[in-house]
Amino acid sequence: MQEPTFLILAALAAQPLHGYGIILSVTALSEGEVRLRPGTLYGALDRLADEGLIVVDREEAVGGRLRRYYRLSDSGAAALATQAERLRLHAAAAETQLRRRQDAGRPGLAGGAA
Amino acid sequence: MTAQDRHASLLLAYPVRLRRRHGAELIATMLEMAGPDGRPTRTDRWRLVLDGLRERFRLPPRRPLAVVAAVLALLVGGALGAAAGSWAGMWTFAEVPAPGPMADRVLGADSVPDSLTQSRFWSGSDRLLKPGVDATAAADSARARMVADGWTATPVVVSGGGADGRYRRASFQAGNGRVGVRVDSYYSEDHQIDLGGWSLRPPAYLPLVFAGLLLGLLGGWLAATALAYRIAGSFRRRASAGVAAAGLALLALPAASVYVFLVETVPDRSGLGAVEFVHRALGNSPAYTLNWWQTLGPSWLTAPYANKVLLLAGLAAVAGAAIIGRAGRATREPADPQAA
Repeated sequence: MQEPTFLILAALAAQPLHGYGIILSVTALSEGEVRLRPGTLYGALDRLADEGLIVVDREEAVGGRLRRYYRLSDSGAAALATQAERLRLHAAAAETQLRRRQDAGRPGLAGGAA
Repeated sequence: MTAQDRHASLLLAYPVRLRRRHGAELIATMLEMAGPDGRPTRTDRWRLVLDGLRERFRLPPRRPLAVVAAVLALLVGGALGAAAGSWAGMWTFAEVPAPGPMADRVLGADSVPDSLTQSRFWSGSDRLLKPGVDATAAADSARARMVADGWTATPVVVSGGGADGRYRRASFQAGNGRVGVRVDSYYSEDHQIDLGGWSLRPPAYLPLVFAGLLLGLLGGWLAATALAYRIAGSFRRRASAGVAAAGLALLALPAASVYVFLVETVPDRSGLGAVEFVHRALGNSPAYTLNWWQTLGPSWLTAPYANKVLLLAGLAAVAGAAIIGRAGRATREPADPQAA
């Protein structure tokens, strides 16, 4: 799962959102690192809908403009949980490796920091 | 006209699938991102267009067979594009002058007509030397007349013939940049003198072939992505994918044939009297190559026009796959809130 896809699913996990709401949420979740554009967002939403990971929640007309709200489906929530767990395990493994590196780098021990 | 309508033309960059499902949302989101006045900048509009074009190149995720099919479609598209470019380039070739009047002018004083052949890019005039005219002298005077008319000519060379002198001939070639001519004046008993003409390849031909190749590669990939999404969203996915695969398999041989012709045609041999076109591959069998001594593949492949039959059958199958793949798409619209 690519990062923007992961973040879109994460954005929809808490509540249904419309397109612009998803873009704002993804920007916030990634602390400004991932900024989706309309073209990239709807391509991704279309693929996620085809895979059944998201569904349309409702539609509203605000100021003459269409707002279609999307929400996570059950399989989407499961896919997000699986990916989150995977990333958590990878992060934990990386932290363990970094601790070992620090331990190996203590003064007086052979080898030193690589 | 609403702001939505004003920007609707930007959506033409998107595949039909996305335009139909998310067109209004794409514009609405761009306007929302533009802030309270809702006026997107030129950069915003360009990004929307570029993202749409990028979407056209994307294949459905996690479908390795679609990737294989798309690569094949890319190559088939390139071959068809190169053939189309070659066909267009053919019209930049000069027509060969009618052999009769030309031979009359060049050889008229020394010979009498025997037979003529004429096509658009080749012509030939076989004539008989008048009694008492020496073959080399006839070639020399023909050359002198052509040079006087502004042609560039090689020197007359006497060659060939065994111990008995049969097929010994005096020959030269001439050209005017657009047409090549060869004169062979024989020492044989029938005193034949032949004038053959052919079109020389104009500089525009190969660029048109390669432009066609590039456009064809592009078209092949875009057609493959569009068809892959259609099949992926269809209820008759297996039937549609099977027919599309059969179509691509049928197209593979004619496409390969075009590439063989392309490789053989790139070195310009028109100076030697060989006028060949890349698109002629499609009027032959997949086993035929321009190197006449070479035959590719089994003998059943050598049926003339086999490539035309394979091409038409393959294109029909791909079109059939697209028609079969239409089934079920409308019901998969995420746009329907009731479906949610």
